[in-house]
Amino acid sequence: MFFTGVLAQSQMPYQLPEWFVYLHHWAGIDITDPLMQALMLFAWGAVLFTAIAVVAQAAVVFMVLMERKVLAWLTQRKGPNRVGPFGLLQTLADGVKLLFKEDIMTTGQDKLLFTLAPAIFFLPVFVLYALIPFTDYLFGVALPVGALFIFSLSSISVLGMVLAGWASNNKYSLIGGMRSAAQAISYEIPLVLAVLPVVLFADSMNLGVIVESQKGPLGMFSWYWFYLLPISFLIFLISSIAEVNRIPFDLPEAESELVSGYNTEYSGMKFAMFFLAEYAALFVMSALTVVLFFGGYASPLAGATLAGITFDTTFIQTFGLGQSLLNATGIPSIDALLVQCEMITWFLLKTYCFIFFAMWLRGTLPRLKPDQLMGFSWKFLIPLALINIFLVAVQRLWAHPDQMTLLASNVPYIVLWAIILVFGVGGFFWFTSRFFTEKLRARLVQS
Amino acid sequence: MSETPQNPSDQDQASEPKQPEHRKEHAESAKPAPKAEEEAPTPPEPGKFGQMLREAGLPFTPLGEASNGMEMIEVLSEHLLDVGRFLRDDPRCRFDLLLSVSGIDMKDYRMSVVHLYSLYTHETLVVKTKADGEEKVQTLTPVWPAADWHERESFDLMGIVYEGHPDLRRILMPIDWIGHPLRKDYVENDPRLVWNRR
Amino acid sequence: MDIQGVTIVRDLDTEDMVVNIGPQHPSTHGVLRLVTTLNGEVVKDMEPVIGYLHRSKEKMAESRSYFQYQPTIDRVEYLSSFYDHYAYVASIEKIAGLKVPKRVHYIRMITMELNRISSHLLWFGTFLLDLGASSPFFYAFRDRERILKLFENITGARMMYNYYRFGGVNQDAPPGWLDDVRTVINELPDRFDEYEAIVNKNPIVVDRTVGIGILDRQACLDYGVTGPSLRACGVDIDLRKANPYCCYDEVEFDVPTSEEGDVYARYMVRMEEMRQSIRIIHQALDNFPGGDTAKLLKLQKEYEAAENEIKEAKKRVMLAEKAGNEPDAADVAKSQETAPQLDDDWKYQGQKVNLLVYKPPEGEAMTLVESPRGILGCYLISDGTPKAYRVKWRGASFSNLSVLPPLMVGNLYPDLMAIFGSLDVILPEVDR
Repeated sequence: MFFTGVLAQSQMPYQLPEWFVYLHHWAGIDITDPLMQALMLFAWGAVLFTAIAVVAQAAVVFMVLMERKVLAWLTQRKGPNRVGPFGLLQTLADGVKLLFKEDIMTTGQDKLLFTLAPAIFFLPVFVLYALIPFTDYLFGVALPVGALFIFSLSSISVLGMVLAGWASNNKYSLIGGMRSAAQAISYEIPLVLAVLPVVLFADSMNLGVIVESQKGPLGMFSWYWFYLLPISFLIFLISSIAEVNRIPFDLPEAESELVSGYNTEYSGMKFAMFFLAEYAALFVMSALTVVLFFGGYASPLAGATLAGITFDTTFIQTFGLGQSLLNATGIPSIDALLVQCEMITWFLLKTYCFIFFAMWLRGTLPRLKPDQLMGFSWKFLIPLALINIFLVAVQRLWAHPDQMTLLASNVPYIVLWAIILVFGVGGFFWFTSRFFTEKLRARLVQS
Repeated sequence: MSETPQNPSDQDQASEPKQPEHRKEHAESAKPAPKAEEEAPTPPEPGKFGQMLREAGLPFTPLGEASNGMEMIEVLSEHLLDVGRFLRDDPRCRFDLLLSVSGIDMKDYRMSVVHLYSLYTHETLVVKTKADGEEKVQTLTPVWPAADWHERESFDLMGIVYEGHPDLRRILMPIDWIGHPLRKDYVENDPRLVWNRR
Repeated sequence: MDIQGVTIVRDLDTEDMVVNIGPQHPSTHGVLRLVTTLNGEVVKDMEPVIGYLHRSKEKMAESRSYFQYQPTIDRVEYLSSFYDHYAYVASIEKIAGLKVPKRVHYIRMITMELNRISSHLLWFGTFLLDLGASSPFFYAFRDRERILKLFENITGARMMYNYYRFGGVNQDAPPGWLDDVRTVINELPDRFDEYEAIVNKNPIVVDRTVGIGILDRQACLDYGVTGPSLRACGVDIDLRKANPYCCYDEVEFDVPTSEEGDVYARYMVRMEEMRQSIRIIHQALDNFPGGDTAKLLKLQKEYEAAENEIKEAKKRVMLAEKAGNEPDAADVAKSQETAPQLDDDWKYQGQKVNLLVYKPPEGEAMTLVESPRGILGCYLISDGTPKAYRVKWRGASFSNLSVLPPLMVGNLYPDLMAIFGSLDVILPEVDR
């Protein structure tokens, strides 16, 4: 009761843990003062961001190993298995090796930019971690313009690549940097266009709100990926892989063409920064996919009613536990912590599914050419995304905002989406496969 | 470009490892090469393609057959283009694929040996041409453009200068190399080479 | 400017960029330097600079005995060195007129065709690696490893075989080797189906290879391009069919061709060639003269025993005659018999030659072989001494590489990897 009163008094603009606010109140700080509120917000963000950055670093280190293991399994190898149990410490050993490597500078380099470029590439990606709601409590900051902020930040890291390509005084690097610029311009547009329908549905750019808005009566099928925004989801998935420069879109560092692209001349820790930032970007993009289209930290049954039970965000909450983070003594309760753990588990499980998907693609597909890459974005993805926005906007105008009602009464729109799904996406794949087989049939028969 | 088509004997004057002087004098006398065919007392009869060349009135010398049955002819440098065009265009020959150009050091003179293959008749023909005293041989690139790199290689390693070749440069050896390695009188580790100079 | 159907309007003041691709570069397959002039990503000019791997193989032949030179041949072309060995050995056999047993021909045929498969498999892996797909590389190497294992069993080496000898081979196939070969080639076609399933209709592969790097017949002839690249433009020239050597006239196989002449056609031709090689190996295994070595050794033992018996009988008869006794009638009858001999065609070495100081008579021969990369030739001149007078290698890669600049001009830089990869150039053979 007391804490609720304090919170009501504080009228916090953003979500802050009750106990954190109480801590300040107890220390004699006027929590109704807007300046103090801002400071508290900042302090809480800093605490969480530090925690998240450490955890994220560990996640990235694990991802490097995971990538090598996954690729090894895809190609019937064993992968790293010498350092530590099951090779778990392999990345650590690599990191130590990179730390001790010589930091090579060649002649003719722009030394300032050459040093600055990895940092420019590295920092925005790590700032992005602060925006991602791992649970309903664990996030650095809940910006009202979170979705927009993420894309504006992620486009900065491209600058790092271009600068690295330019400052290296290497022609491969230069080509790689230029390619990355062209690619970023091409693929950030469909990326943002694919998120717009999500914002239209959620009525907010706050990532936490977007996650909450996905809770629906169908559980995981009322998340945006399934019948509400499947086209947005596919566009986002493709563009996000292009955005983090992974095969089949890894043109900036195409190793068979440009040796290593923009980071050809980098060694030691500078190279490690590029390397880590790439994986961190992959993590952030996968996490974003989860937040925007896969219900974030919600369990697959969240919002659904099965066998007379209406499921809450997590299973633990469904059974009436962990409703408040604090118990009567002001200490975080065990069941509330369990709820947080479950949320993180769901979130990371989904995120790693998408990370695995990216690794799977890398093990399967060859690389596109630059002209095909641009063509795919400008000639196919962007028009599709624009049509998609139009359809969603029309739907939002006419449909009732409540999802339950939408499901029950707006069957025509579901049919419309089904048609789009079948004829749009399926038709595209059918068309392309037919196109290719027509192209190839004659020659296949011949030889 | 340090290596231009030139008389290789010019290089010899530069410093001590003299190449044998007798090479020029013996070039005309054409001492018998280590060849079973050429040592034969009577010149061999022209083969199938020799007959065709004879009918066409093109000058050549039949050299009999190689050990694996390929017909060999010798053509003088000045007739090489005419003979080549005939061999390429005549419907009975149609040697459209030039397989290789090999330079051979016969100790007294250099020889350019061309192996031709026909995609129609599946026959192979060996055309040999002696280089003159200035190591010059007519290029075959106007007839078979494929001869380009092969002649460059022959020039590089054997020092045969192909007259009229569009781009006669060294191809395998470094451009500042001295001498032509496949010659029998080649001096290994030439003191004039850059890394041997002090 | 018109590039691949896209008109590029040049109203910007741009500057060309010269990129030195190589000598060290991940996809030059060795030590090749391509001085490339790029306009953006479009290749305007290209000049290959070769010779970085020149090890003077031809000069080496003139300072070594014929046999001493043989181990170095493996290094001329290390992915399919059986072909180089065959060209060299066959040249000497022709000059010396050595008779080669049929069993040797069949062993050579099987090893050469296996080598073609292993070489094409490696090409398949590296070609797709050049396109950016990493997995096929490992799949191809897995299968290639099994073939290398077979080579190791018969020659003792995985890559540097040094197996063929003048008029024979180094050693007979070990007992059970033929069955091992059969097991491997029975499994390979399924693998090829798997590979083609992930590659043939992959939209990215198709987009990157179809219509790219088109060679026509005349261009091939103008640059001396042979092998699968030539067959991919509709010329069905295969020396195994056109001028059969070994016992290729005794086996049935098709020469895969394609009309398009682009990168994809070259890929398809090579994949089909591997299947045809398997067909050849199957037939060669079925008609293998003498059959499995274990059987042959048993037979040989029996014959030797029979011969010994006859010798013993002869001895007894002689001793009896010396002693003035009447020899045993059975012994007399036995001594009249002649022991059965192994068929000459069942031997793994024909006429025995002294390898170290082998002197073929004077003469010259050019042996042409259809190697996985095209027509391989060994032009050998002998002057009757234990050292070759001149050995000239006609490497298929040398000519195949020369067609790269005209193919590349006007294409995009990433096409270089597809086109260069599809030509299957191997640099040690170019530079020798």
